[in-house]
Amino acid sequence: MAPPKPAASRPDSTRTGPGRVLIAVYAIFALSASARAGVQIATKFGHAPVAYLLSAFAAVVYILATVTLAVGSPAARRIAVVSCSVELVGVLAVGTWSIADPATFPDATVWSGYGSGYGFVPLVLPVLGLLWLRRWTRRPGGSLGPEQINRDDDVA
Amino acid sequence: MVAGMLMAIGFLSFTQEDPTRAEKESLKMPCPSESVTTKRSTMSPVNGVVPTTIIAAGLALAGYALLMTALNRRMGAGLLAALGVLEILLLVLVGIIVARLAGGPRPAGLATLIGYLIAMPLVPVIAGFWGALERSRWGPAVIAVAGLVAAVLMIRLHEIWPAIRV
Repeated sequence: MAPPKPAASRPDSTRTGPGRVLIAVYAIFALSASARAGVQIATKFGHAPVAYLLSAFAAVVYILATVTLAVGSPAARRIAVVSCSVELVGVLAVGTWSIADPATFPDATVWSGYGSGYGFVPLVLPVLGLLWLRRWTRRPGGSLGPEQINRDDDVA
Repeated sequence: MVAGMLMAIGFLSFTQEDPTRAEKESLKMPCPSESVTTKRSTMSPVNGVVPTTIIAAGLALAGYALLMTALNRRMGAGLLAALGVLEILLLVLVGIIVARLAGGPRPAGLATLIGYLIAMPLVPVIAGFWGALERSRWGPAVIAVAGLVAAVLMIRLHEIWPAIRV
């Protein structure tokens, strides 16, 4: 028996509704972070190797989040949760590291200063991504994965 | 509406700026047959009016689009038309910068600048398609992102190449 189709106004995938905006912002960061990291590593890698490698890592995480949010299948959603979590940990860790040890970062990364060079969007984005993924799994019409069972607390 | 009015103001300031500039150049140029664009590209940095207009237009578009989201409206012809205006402005700027690059001076980050010149005009196009796919209030919100990105790109352009004035 097929589950009933959700109403037209209700998002039927992580790529619709607010997810549409989220993917747009993720795509911009995926593009800008990978282009920036590519140029930096190709032209002046020795100048700030740690910063540039972290930029490249951030780029990979952004690309992964963009693609998995856009695909929106249950498996893709699980990968999206992982990449958004890695992203949140990354921005917090690199943000703290860049303030504690500025010498390692002669050139900024996307996550330096908790994303202060990008209007703190890199800090807000993974939080919104995780909230969206969490909220979406709870919607009727979405296939509820095993992660649903472990979540008794209601935040959204 | 608001976006349209602000853009009109932007255009007005553009047209007002031009005669004074032309007058200055005519004073400097004894020979009127000499190309104005060549003269300008060697005399002054990239005209700051277009980037400033793009910032104003981008922010106005973002405000207009977010208003549509707040009012629970879907994508409409008005938003797509405003997006089209932003696209034309960005293409004009790309043309100006390419002409400036052809004139000789190069920024330190030439590769980055060329990347921006390619990516910049794609922003409204991709946002238009991605937003039009959405049949809810979140379609206009995608357009708002494009408007904000266009404004931020102008600041970045200035950082890449200070000759591009904002």
